[in-house]
Amino acid sequence: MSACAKNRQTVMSACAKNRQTVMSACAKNRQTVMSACAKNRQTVMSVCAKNMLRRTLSVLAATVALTACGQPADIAAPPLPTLAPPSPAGMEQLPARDALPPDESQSTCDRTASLRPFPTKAQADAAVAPIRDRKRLLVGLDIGSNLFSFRDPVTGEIAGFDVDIAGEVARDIFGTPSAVEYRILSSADRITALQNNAVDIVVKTMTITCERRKLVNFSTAYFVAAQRILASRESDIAGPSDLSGKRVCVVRGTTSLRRVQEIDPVPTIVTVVSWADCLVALQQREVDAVSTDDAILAGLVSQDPHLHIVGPNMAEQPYGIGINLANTPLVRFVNGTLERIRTDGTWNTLYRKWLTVLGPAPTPPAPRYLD
Amino acid sequence: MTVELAHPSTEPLAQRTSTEPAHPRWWFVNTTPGRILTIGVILATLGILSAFAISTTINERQHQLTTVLDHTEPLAFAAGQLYTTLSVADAAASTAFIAGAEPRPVRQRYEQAITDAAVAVTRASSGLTDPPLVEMLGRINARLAVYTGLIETARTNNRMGNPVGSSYLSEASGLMQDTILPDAQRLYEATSARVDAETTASAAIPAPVIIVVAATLGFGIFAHRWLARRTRRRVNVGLVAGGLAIAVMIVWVGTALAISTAGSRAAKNTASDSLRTVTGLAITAQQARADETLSLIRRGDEDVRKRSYYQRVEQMRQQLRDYQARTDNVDTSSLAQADQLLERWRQADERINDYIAVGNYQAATQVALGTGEDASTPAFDKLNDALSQGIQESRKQLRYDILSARRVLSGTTVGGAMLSAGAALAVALGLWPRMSEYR
Repeated sequence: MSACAKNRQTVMSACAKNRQTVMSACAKNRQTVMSACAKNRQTVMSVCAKNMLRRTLSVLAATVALTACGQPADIAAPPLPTLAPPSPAGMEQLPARDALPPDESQSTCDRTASLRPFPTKAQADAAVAPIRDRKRLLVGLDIGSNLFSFRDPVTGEIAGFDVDIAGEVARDIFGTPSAVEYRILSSADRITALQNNAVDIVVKTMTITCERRKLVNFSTAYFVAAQRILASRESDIAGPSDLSGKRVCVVRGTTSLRRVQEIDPVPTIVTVVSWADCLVALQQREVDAVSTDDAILAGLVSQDPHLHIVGPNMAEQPYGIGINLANTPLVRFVNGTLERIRTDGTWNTLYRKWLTVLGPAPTPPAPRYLD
Repeated sequence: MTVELAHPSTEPLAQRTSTEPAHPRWWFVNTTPGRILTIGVILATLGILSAFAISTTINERQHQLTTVLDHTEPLAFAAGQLYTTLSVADAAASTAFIAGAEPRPVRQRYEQAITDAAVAVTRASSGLTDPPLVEMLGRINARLAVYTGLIETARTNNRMGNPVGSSYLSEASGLMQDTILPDAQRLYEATSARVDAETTASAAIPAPVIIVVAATLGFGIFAHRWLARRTRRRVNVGLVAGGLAIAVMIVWVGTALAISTAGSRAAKNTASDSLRTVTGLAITAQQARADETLSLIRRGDEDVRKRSYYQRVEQMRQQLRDYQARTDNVDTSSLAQADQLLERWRQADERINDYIAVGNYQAATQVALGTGEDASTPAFDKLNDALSQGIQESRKQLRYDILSARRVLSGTTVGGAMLSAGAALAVALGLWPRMSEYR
């Protein structure tokens, strides 16, 4: 009996040993091996009764256990496919390039200077007669710039600071802010839409630049934003220089893109269609940061408390209302509207309605005129 | 008493070991009884070969048709269902999104579509063995999980008032339309092509059977005439009986094979084509609906969506017209109203566009989601119901055709083999008396 017990122990240790070897050989077959061991023990006990040799038994146990595991170990699991992570519709990665020199072109012109409003109401009325005949003001904007123009999920209507500014222009033309038809434009389409007269005005966080001035006309600045960086609170990004080697999201056809390309070495730039898509890319860990105007970033932060706006003012971005290059009467008319809302307190009301996240209402940007 | 028996042979033993055999080799074949025996053996062999050819061919055919019925067709149907329900899910998700607070039926439709798609994935997976197709289905399944996640993210953001919800929705829709649906379409096309291939294979002309049976019949006639000349008996009952057995078999098996082949052909050319056309129509309808509702989310791609919607509607109208002009289509009475429904839907969509043109999105959404007679939803729903019914009818017809192609073959294996073997036996019995005359 004691010999038998000893026997069992030896076999068991052989089994345990086997199990270890086997487990390293075929990690997933533990169950098979264990059942083989259990089986072995039974065999062994009956064999013990028959007074068989100890060595034979342990060899047998080892053989059985190894045979039990040998076959499944040979089957190679089929390779598991890896799928590309989901990404916002239309997301693209720009090819790597050298850093651009600092943008000097803004000093080549007086970019924020526009045309003086009409002195008389009759002249102003004459300027918008074609629009009045159409009974609607065609406004180009997008729906992915929270706080400025976005689709209100509750009402389904387009709302925001830019939308209300456009409404004020419509109020001056028609007496009501609702006589507006929106044309949704991507940032890259803004200038073409104006050139083709597909829209009367573009009110879409559009920065006034010298290059754009050659293609379209601008009103006086109605808002001045500062380009900054949006990043996750847990990241160590604190300024533009931290962006090198990171993935940065910007919208195609914006001034923000150019400024990011001035960072040396240039970060990996991912472009999307709207700023809301940048938030999606950031939340899905497709990018590490977003860089654009603080006003737009504030709209993104308000939708995700895990993000924060960091860094200094990388570039000043005066927003103007875009108008067809040839349509100077409309420029004067729109400047008249902006003049009105600056002085009658509407600008401050709108700021408080939408942009309090940026701090207390500042004074409206002072108009500058060419003539 | 002992009896002395004389040796019968008086010739010397050495004489018998001559090098010349008593007869030349195969001498027996050249004798009349030898020839009769040879003919008998050949006829019997041909009879058994016929029995073998018939039973294997028909067995094969039955097996193929059983495979189509039990395996290939359900697989293709599951793939078609997957493709359709994924399109339904996409249309339902965007509808739910523009509906704001998501009315219960709108939400339910999306949930049901996802349930149906998941079930269709399981059904399709049970029959797929082709590694590229298995991998394709794996991709569809993996992305479906990602898709539902994106839809729920869009939904949550939408409910919280975060405008980023519409970005998530268009990401989800892009994933569905650019990646999942093309995969589902390829899977559906591959599986339904297999149904066609297997049905066509069972409609091929059975050349080996025709050759063997014709050879048997021809040799039987030759044998009978030869025997009549040689034995001066005009009719050999055995051979005639054998010939009759073969004739009965030819008529029976031939008719069965002809009917079965016609069934298979009908299944492929009519029912399978109908099923594919109607499934295609149902999917196009869902994609057009997705275009219609996604354009109301306004991401700047309205013009593309609008164009795509009109293209799809025009495509559906053309397909419907072609389908109804065909004389050999499955009688899908449910599709009779489809043309009018399509027209009503298009008119509703024009009203949506009219509202959008004057900037009244609220009213446009109302037309897209409303339940009024002139709204978009009832027209689309009815069209969708008609197409679903059309799919069911075409599928029923397809399975019925294949089933009858198989049913008509049952019994012919045993019958054909027995008649052929019987013919061989009759030939043997008919030739035996002639043989024994030469004893």
